[in-house]
Amino acid sequence: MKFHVRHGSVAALAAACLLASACSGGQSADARGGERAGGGAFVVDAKGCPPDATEALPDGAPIKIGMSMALSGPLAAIGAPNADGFKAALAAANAGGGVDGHKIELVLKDDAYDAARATANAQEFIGKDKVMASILAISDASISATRPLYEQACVPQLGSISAHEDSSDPVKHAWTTVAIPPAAAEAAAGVKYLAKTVPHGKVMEFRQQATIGEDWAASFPRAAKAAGLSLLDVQTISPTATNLDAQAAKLTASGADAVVGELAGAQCIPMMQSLAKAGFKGVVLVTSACNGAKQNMMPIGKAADGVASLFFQKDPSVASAKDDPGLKQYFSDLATYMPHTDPTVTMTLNGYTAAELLIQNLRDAAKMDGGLTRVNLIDAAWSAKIRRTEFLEPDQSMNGDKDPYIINYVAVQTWDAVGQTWKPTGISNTWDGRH
Amino acid sequence: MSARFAVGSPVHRAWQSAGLVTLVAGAVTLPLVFDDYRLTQLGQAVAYAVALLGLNVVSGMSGQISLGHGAMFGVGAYTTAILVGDHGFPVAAAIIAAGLLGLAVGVVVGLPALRLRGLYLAIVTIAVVTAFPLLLVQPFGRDLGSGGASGKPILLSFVKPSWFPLDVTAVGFRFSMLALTAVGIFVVTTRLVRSRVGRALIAVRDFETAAVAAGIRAAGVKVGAFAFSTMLGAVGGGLFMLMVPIVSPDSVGFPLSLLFITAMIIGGEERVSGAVVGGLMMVYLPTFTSDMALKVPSLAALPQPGLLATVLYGVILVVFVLFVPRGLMPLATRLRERVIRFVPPGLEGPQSGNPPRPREPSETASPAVRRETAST
Repeated sequence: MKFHVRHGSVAALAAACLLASACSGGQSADARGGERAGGGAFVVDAKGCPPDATEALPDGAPIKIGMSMALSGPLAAIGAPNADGFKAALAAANAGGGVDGHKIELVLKDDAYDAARATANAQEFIGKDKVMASILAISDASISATRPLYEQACVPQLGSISAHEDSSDPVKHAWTTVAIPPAAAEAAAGVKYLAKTVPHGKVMEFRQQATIGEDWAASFPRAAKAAGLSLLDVQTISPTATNLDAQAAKLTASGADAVVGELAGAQCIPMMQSLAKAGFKGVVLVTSACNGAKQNMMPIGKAADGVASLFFQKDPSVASAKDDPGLKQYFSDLATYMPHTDPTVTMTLNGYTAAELLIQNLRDAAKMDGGLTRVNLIDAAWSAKIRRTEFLEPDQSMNGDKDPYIINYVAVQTWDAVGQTWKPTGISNTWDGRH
Repeated sequence: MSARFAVGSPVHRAWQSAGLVTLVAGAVTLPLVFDDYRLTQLGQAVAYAVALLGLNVVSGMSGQISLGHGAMFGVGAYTTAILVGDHGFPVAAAIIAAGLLGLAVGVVVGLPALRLRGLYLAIVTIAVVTAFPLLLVQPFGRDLGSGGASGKPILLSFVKPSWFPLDVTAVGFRFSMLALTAVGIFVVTTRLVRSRVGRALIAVRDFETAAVAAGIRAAGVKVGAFAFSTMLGAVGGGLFMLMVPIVSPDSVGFPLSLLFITAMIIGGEERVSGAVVGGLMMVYLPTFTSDMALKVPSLAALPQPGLLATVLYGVILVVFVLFVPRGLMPLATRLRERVIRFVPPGLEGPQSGNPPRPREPSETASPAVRRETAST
C-alpha cells in the first residue's frame, strides 16, 4: 500500500508543479479606462476590444440586456422587485416601438447574491447570450468579480448598485457605471442636517459591519469633524444582529445628541425600536437604504416619528405618491405591464428608473456615428442627460471623469408618524466629488 | 449475472486506470468543448469537490460532525487572494500555503474532537464558521488584507505557456490546471483511505473501544482526520480563486457550510467519488432550481419566483434523504455491481446470478442513524 500512496503523492506533486509552472505569471489584469478626446466628450478606451464591440446591431435584432440579480438567497426581497420594475419599463418601451426599431429583451439570471454565480452568469451573458450590456449588478463583490470580464469583452456594465466611491471610476474602469450616489454624497447631506439640528453636538454612529458601514466610515467621520460635530465611540453592528438594545443603551448613557444609522436591510427597524425602548430623545438619522416608509417606518408606528432619512428618489409607498405627477407614469406602467407587482416597494421604483436610464442611453447611442454598438452605448452612458421625474432632482447628467455619477442630489426628510408622510427639512446637498 | 474479478487483478487495474485516464483526459480536453461559462461552473464544482473530499473524510470516514467547512474554504480562499494579491506569491505557492494554514487551523479546532462527540463537536465547528466572516470585517482582519465587507479580489492574468499544446482560452487553461491538481489530490486521498490510515479511520468511527484495543491511537486518528479535512477545505478554497476572482465574507459563512453538508449527503459521505458528485450538485442544483423557477411559465408567473428556487432545492434534498439516504455514489456502485463486481481474491469464481447480499439492519437508515447504531 505504501507503494500506492507514493504513486499518488507523485501524481499530486506533478499536478502542483504543473500549476506552479503555469501560474507563476499571475498578475493583476489590466483595467480598461477612458479619457477625454481632445478636451471634448469622454470616450472609453476601445483599443483591443473584440470586433463585435463596434459592430452595429443588425436591423430588427433584439437588444439583449443581461441582468444577474439576487432573485433567491438573502437579498431576494431586494432583487425581485428591482427586476419587476425593470421589466415594466422595458415592456412600456417595447410597446412604444422599442429603440430605433429594436425591441429590448431582458436576459434574467439568478445569482442568489453570490459572486461565484454572478461570475458564471457574466460569462454566459458575454459568451452565449451576446448581450449588449449588463445592468443592475448588486454588491461590491459581484461588481469586482465581473468587472474584468466585461472590460475584457467590452460589454458595458451599467447601473450598478454600489455606494463605494471606487465603483464609479471612469478613468480606470470606464466600462462600469453606477446608478446611485456614493455614500460620501449621503454623508455630506447628513452632516449638514446634523450641524443644523445639533450644532457642535455629540454624535454616535451605529455602523453595520457590511459594505454600507464601510462606505460611510470612509466619509462621514471626516465630514462630521469638519462641521464641528464631536464623534463618540462607534457602535458596530453585526450584519446578522436582530437586537440592538445593547448599542441603544450605550447611546443613551453616552449623552449623545444624535445617532446615525449606517445600516441597511433588516436592521433598520430593530435599530429604531431599540432606540425607542431605550428612551433616546435625540436626533436619529438613517441612510437612504432605510427610507422606504412602508417597509421601515409604518410598521413601528410612533417609534419612527421624527426619524430623518436621506433621499434622492421619491418614496412610492406614502399616500401622496399616488397623486405625484412625477410618479404617474411609473404607477401606470406598473399597473399595465406588471399588475401583480407591488409598485409601492422602493426597490421596484429602483428597477424602473434604472431601465429608464438604460433606454435613454440606448437611444443616444443609436444616434451616434456607427449606430447601436456597445462602444457607442458606453460612451453615451458617460455623457447621459435625462429627466427622471421620480427623483427629487429630476434633471440629471453624467460627464465622464468630471461628473461620474448620474445622481448627485441628496436631501433630508423626516418621518411624520401622524400624517404618515415624509416632511422636507429644506436641507440638501449636491455632490461635487469633493469631501 | 455479474462478472466477478479479484481486487488487484488485471481487470481491476484496468478499470481503475480507465477511470484515471478519463479524469485526466477530461481535465485537459473539456476546455476544447465547453465555453468559458460552462468551464467556470465546472471549475467551481471541482474546487468544491476538493473541499467536500475533506468533509467526507472527517464525517463519512472518521465519524466526526463538522459544520465549519465553509470557514475552512474561506481560510484557503482568503489566504490565496492575500498572498497573491498583496504579496506577489505565485498562485501555486499561495494554494500550498493555504493548505498548510488549513492544516494548522484543523489541528487547533480538531483538538476538542478528542473530548467532544456528535452535536457537541458540531457546535464548536458552528462557532468557528459563524465567527469567521465577522473576523474578516474587523479592523485587524482588514489590516491582514481581507478587504472588509466588500471582499478580497484576486485578478489573475494567465498566459498559456508555450508547452501547453491545446488552443484554449485563459479560463480553459485555468480550468485544466485546477482539474489536474484536483485529480492528483483525489488520487492521493483515495490511496490514503484504502491504506491502513483509512482502515483506522473507519475502525475508530465504527467502534472506538475496539479500535483502541487493536492498537490504534484514536486521538491521533481523530485530530489527523480533522486536520486533513480542513487542509483539503482550504486547498479547495484556494483553487476556487482560479475561477472566481473574489472572496467576500458573505460567501464563506454558515450558508456555505450547509451547502457542503447537503452536497455531502447527496453525493454519499462515505465515498471519495461522492465528493465529485457533491461538488457538481453544489453548482448545478441551485442553478437548475433557479432556471426552473424563472423559465417554467407557470412558476415564472408567480410573484418572486426566485424564492421558489429555494423551495425546489429543499424538496429535492428531502427526496434524496428519503429515497437515496446513502447518496448517489453508493447507488451508482450498486448499479455497477449488477454488471461487474470486484471481490477479494479467491471469491471471484463463477457464480450463478447475484447471491443475495445480507442486509445490514440499519442499511436503509440515514448515515447519521447508522453511525449512532454502530456506536451503541
